[in-house]
Amino acid sequence: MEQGFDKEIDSLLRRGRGGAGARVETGGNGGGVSPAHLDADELSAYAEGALPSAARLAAASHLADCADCRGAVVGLVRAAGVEAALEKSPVAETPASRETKPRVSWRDRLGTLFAPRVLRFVAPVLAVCLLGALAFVALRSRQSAPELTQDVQRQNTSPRVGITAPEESHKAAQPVGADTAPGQSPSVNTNTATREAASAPVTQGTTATTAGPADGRAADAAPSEAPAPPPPAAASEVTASELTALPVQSRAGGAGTGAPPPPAPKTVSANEDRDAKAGAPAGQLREEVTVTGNAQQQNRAANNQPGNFDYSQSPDGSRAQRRAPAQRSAPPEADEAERAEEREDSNKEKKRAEGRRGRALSRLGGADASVGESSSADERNVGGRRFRREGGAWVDVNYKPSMSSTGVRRGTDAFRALVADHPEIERAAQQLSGEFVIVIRGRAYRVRP
Amino acid sequence: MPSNVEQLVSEGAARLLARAADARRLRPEWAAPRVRASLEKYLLRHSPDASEREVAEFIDALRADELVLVLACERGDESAWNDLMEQYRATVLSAARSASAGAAEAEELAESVWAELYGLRVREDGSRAGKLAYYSGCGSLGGWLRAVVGQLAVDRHRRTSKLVQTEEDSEFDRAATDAHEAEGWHTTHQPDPEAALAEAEAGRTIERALARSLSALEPEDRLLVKLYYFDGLRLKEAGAVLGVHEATASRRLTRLHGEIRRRVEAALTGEYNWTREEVARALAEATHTQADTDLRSMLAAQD
Repeated sequence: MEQGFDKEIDSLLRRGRGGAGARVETGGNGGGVSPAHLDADELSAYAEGALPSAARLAAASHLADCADCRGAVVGLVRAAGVEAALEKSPVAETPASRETKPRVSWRDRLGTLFAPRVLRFVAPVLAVCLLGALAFVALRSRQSAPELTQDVQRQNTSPRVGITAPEESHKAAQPVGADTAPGQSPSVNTNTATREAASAPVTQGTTATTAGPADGRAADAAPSEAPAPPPPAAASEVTASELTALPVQSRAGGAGTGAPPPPAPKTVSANEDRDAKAGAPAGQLREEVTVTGNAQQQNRAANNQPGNFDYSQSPDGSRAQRRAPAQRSAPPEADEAERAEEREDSNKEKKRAEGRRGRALSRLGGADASVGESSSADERNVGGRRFRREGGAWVDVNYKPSMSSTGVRRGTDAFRALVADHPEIERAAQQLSGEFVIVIRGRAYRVRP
Repeated sequence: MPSNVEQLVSEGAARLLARAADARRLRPEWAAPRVRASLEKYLLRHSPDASEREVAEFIDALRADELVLVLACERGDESAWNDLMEQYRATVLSAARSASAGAAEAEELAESVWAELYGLRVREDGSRAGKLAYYSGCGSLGGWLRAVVGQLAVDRHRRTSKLVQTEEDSEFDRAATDAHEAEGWHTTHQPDPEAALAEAEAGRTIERALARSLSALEPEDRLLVKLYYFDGLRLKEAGAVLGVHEATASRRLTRLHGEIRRRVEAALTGEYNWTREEVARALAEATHTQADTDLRSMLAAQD
């Protein structure tokens, strides 16, 4: 029983701390203890361990029986500990340093990745990934081609044809995909371009007096589509055709056609187009028109076959006029594209944040496990809150990195104001030395010494 | 005490000035009295038969730069005062902040500390009777200033609380304590008064035995027990106060459990004529009551 932790004596001593503690303490005061308190010099020298051994022993024998002097020494030791910690790391656990911590570990991980041993395997994989990514970007942007045919057909349809339009568009998309062999992508473009070009005169012809072909088409297409209510069906058809067209395109792109990768906004405009289709049909038409116009330009650029265009559009004889509205409507479209881009960015941001959070959580989980394995030395319980030792600070187990946190220093006015609002912080501050993070009603407070 | 203490001190004072980065035009004979006082206070008083080597080592362990700065301040060196203020203003202010309740109070406390250091009275020899005279150079000047601020804060607190507490208040306190004690007695009052009385008596006996065994411990061991159990420090902090590692403190505490048990059992069986069974039962009961009443503080402190 005398070896190891003696629970009975331990609890006996703990009980001594309470009401009976005073009696026990005065009882211990009976011996030849110097009645004089330690002076400031003795206190600080003792706290710093600077006293010669005999003087140290004398001071200890007073401290053992004098709670006041003990309190003073404990305060000095704590202050010295804080100062030492500050000297060691000038930026002791600021939010910024917390941010850099994972980055350092990432760098380490990257370091291990680039070890020659690993590099042998990783390099080819990376190269393949890079190629895949490039191909994806290049091809994603050329989605406009099948969509183009889709749009043209829909705009082209008379009320009679309106019902069959989805079917047709499907067919239109399919052959294009089927026909396209690697290396033949220019022909696809030509194909769609001619289709569109052929369709243009029809609409043009019906609305010759309108200000511009684009507007005219919108005006024309609106009544034509209004009686037949296929917009949702058409929209789903479109996405379906896009989907079927995608693999074909990737094949074409993978073969390395000479077509330059179009600018990013184009892909966004395709998305935007889809969004618009899902929305109100009236606005949708305008969007489609502008996209078509845009896609035409793009096709022209990609094709290098302006003759084709010129020819097909010449019957109208107002190519300049025709192009003008499309260009005029481009700015709003660009706006839309920007907004869509923003939306995409924010989506990405969200995903990244989620990823970060997931990582952080998994890190926390890891810490949890390690704590559970090692001991409870890294955990404390204060006023019903559990704190875990993390990077030199006590961190409330309820704390999540996504929480906004307020930083305060002990002893400052801000700290006192905070304590007035949340007495639990004071309780924590009394029991936890150094820095700690406490979560109260979903808000984190970082208290620094 | 070595017979040539005077010589050792004057040589040591010269070395002290030589060690300082800036001797501030001090002469060894000005520094010698302070060195002598520190030596007396911390070495010779406790070990009168210290060897020459110990004396020299003690002097050479004094903080040269900080002691020189203080000595120069005492001699009225303005630049030394400026340096002192500049280097330690933040230390004094932070110590004052942690010792007072509000920012204004902290500022005021810090100001009064500087006034005390400077000394408002002037001695006959022209030097000022400031608190700086009490700095020995044994510990750091920053630590000493912190301790001075802490003591001054305690003094002020006592003065102001004495002023605030009126006669009625203390009367009220006394009445409240009386009522509390009476109440406490009633709550522990068991259906069987004799059994309750016997239990209370047994508890007091154990307490006395515990107090005696504690006071018989070595000073540093007693200090460790007090720091850990009475002040509620963690082992790491208690170790830091004693200047030992956490693991050492833990081992020492475990050893102390055994020592305290031996002493308590010896006292109970020897002086109070308890049987071994009675002792075992009483100690086990102590554990049970503890588990009920103090579970939370146990959880908080058991780290």
